[in-house]
Amino acid sequence: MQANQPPGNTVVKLTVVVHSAPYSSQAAYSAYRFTASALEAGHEVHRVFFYYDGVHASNALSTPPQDEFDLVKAWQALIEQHELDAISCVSSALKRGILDAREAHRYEKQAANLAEGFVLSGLGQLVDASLSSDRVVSFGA
Amino acid sequence: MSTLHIINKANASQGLSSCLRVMLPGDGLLLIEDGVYLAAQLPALPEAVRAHVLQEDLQARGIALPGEGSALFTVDYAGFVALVCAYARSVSWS
Repeated sequence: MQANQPPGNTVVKLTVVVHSAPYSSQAAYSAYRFTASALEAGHEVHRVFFYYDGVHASNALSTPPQDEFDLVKAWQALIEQHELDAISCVSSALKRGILDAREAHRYEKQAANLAEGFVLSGLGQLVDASLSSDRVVSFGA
Repeated sequence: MSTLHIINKANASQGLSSCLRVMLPGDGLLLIEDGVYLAAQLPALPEAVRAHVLQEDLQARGIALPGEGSALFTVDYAGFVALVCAYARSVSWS
């Protein structure tokens, strides 16, 4: 039995929050699938916010075997194609060894590894997204 | 203003039991990820609560789809998106 679809073709402004890491939980993948489906349906994805272990999806050094699904690359393709605002929580990311060039310089680390397309920013971006979106959906909380 | 409750864990004490305590008539339930294991043993839900299950997560676990006449509605990812839009808000229980 198929569920009824909501009436009309209203564009809904969505924010997706990702709490879980790839390879630890299916939720990291579910969040990606949900976001891709929402975009395919013509909805607006206002922001994707990667929080806690979710920030591992923005690690450019993640190197899965070539015949396996690459979640980091998949997110990057979606971000590029739809010009998504993809934020990795800066404090979650720094603690987990995910740094952009600026943070690497600031903390005198030898390398930066934030995947292209992602931006490090603060929790205020989640609050702002919650206020300006019609719906907020969390994965792996 | 109704709520979509999303369950992604199979252990009923993780999510479902808490969710049932606050679920209101007219709310929706969606089982995803390991939450689909609960499809076979879903307790009684409040009045007019529609329960849904994500088809590809059922199939990934080798669980048969609910048959005709089942109280459980099967959705794909497009249906998942539609549910999130149809309800006023969603809560992901864990």
